[in-house]
Amino acid sequence: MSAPQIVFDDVSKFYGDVLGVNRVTLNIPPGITSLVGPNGSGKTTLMNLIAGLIRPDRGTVRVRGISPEDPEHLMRVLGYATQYDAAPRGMTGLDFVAMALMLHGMSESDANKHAWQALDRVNLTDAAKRKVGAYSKGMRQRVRLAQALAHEPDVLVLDEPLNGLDPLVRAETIASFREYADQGRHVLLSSHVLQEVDVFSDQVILIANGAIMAEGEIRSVRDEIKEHPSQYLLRCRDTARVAALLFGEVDVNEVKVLEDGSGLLVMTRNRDGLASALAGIALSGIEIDGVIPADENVDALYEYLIGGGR
Amino acid sequence: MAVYKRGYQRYEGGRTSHWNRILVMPRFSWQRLMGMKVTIVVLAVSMVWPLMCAAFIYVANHAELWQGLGGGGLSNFLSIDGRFFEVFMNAQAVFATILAAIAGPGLIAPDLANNALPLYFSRPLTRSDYILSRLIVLLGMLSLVTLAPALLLFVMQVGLAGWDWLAGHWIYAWGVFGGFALWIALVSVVAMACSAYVKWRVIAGALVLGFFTVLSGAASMINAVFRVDWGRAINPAMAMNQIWRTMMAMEPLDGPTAVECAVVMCSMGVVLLLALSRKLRPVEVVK
Amino acid sequence: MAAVIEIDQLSVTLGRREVLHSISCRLGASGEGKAIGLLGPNGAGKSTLIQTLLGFHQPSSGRASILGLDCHKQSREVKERIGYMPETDSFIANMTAVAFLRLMGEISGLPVEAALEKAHEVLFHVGLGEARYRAIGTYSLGMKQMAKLAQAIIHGPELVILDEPTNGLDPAARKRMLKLIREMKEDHKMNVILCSHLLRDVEETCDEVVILNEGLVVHQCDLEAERRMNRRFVELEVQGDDTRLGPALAGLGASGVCEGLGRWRIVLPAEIEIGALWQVAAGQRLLVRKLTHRRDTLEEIFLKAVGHLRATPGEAGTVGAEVATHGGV
Repeated sequence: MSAPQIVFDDVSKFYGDVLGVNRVTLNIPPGITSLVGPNGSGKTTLMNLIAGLIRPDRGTVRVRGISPEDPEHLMRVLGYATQYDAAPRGMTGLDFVAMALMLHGMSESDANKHAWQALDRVNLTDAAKRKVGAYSKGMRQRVRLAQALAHEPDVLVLDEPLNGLDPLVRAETIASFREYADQGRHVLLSSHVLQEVDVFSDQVILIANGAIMAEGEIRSVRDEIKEHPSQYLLRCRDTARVAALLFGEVDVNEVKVLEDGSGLLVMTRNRDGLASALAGIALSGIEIDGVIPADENVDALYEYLIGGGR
Repeated sequence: MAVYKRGYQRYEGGRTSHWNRILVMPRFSWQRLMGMKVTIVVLAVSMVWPLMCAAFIYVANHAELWQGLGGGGLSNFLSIDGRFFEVFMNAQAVFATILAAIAGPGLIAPDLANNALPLYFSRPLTRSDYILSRLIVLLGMLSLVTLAPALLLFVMQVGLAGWDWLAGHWIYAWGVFGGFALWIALVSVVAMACSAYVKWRVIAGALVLGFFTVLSGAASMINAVFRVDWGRAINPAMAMNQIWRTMMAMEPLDGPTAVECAVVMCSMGVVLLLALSRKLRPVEVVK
Repeated sequence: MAAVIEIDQLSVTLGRREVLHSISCRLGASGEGKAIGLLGPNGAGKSTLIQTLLGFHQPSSGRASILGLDCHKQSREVKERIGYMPETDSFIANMTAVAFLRLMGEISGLPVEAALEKAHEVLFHVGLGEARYRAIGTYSLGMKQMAKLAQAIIHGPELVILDEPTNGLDPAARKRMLKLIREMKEDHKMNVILCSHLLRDVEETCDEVVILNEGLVVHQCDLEAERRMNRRFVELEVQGDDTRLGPALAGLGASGVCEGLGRWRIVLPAEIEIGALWQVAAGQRLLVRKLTHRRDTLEEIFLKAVGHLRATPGEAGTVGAEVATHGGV
């Protein structure tokens, strides 16, 4: 039996005239999935559809086999942290998380116990007894996260969870996501910081203008974009010779000498061929100091598919 | 052919003087206010009473024309004295308040609504500069309906009755100009304080008007309930009236003296200024 | 060479709490047109420091000066020469961008005609050309950030303080913002203080970095110098069966740590050339997908400075040291 998925089947959602998403089909496996796209592209709409906060105008959504039209069942296995910085000011962090748990039907003592565990997970135990109104932005972000995962949901949906967090807390939070996802759960989050997304995501979904531009593992997505040959940055001193050899040995589309003369920019559709050619060149005694794939990352994908924009 | 590389070039010229900079915000505000239809309407309507007063001055100075009509009694009625100016000032004071209720709310509230204060205070502008600039906006506008018509009336009167009249009745000039100055200062401070504390323009405007009407009602209530007469001192309109009468050496009304009224009015002004100043911090410090 | 910013035993108390404890540092000593990164965890005192530089707070002891002028006593002169882009939303909703910039320019001391010219110029420069006659209240978040940047530079300041300039911007807008920041320091020779949580942004644009923690300066370094790479540290990514790469590297005298998915971090001893790595890879029948030299990334410098890291992987003999990074930069 294959792993449980989040499935969108030809889903559209419009708010009157305003576009939410337009004919979206997705199959999201467990793990950390990053949702990437410009503001207003439909990320929040997708998340709200998964959580059942809005209903699609057409198509169906299924979250691990459960329909979002069944909140009784769905909300037991789903946790949602929105990007909006709103929390009841007068409550303490602990009460805030525990209250959500009691809404799930837990007894007060159970709720408190699980709340502590959740707060421990986000490293907020020493501030748990303070009022949420006194929290800094990063702490409010974390307490919302704690509330979302307190009931150990199988699906975590997080809208810009790393926004405004300092680097220490970012790293810790990402580590906790990793731990969570490694237990076979879904962690779906949106982020604008593509370099981070690159490092910690299992899959990525690029969305723009309400439509999915690409989805899947970053490497394989890149493989599928045939319109753009792969770019590599080579650091070498003897640029002319290396360039001549490359042209001879493998089908490269383009070789450009960098302005400062420190190396070459090579474009090719035959990556394995390039790798062997480089090995051959290096072994023959010519120094190749660095090989950097310039576009096997989300940043390049974004650039190709969504563009620099205005 | 020539190719020009034009883009953003860093400004490297001279800077304007301090006073020039204080007048920047007033210029922008005046431009905006004069573009509003309601301002023009109020300014126009507020000229009606001064025109009637001007007619009155003309008639009074040519009393011999009416000799036939009412005899001596009429010339008593048609005298340019403290009473005349008092009536004039009371009317114009009302218009000044209305104008302040229109112009005031848009002054400070937009800066606070979206946290624009750090942008102001990271420039060579202190808090006092800021308050002064905003005050100048109101003082300028309110002078149009108070000091300017007053000046016209005096010019007219002096023109018709001669400089000797002014030499003998300089106390009226002192009362009118000084009195108006006090009134527009108070009204301006009230309007700015309302603008700083209330975001919505209409409500802030209503609050400015309400400040005066509510205090007047409170004054009457105090007088009636406690059977005293000092309630008048907190009624700005009445208090100002008392001050004006004293400035023009007229018979003061019953109740608190001009000095007592002045003290109360000044303290109100100071309190409002302090409250205003508190709201204008570039950065909120959370204790 | 006079430093751009000199802070001398500065202490600042807010309410009853002392937020900055007698800190001292000199920033921007190496010349004009430099970008200085200001980093630190939340609550470290970065905002307080910036606000003190702007003259919003009075130092309880010590002094801070910008371009040789005391931030508190000569506040007016300082403010004539600096620009500030606050972190929070800051704008006047019902003014058009041109009117808003004109106002800000004139308050900064520009004459009326110059303010109008510069308003248009700078709005085009930041990419708001088409929208400049619209009210700022109608702008999207990215556009408002650009308008905030525009008002910070319209009067051609010598120092610009940017507080989280890429906050909330989508990737395209973020790239534009960083490009503008680089142009500010390289083309227009303005000094920049960049306060940001995104270490990647700071790494891309800044020449120096100062790190605050709990009201103290815990680290100050010159990224330029750090970037003159020590070529002994290598990141390698290979395709193929790399199970025996570790021992093969050891045979060379090098030490390598595998991070999974074919990624390796390697420390080469001084005598070994890069060519040797190619040979090892070829010997193991591995294709080289990536080969770069790295020194400490800013993230590692940061984590070490605030005490979460005993030593960075680049330091001698500590390849296997515990690293708390998972997000990477």
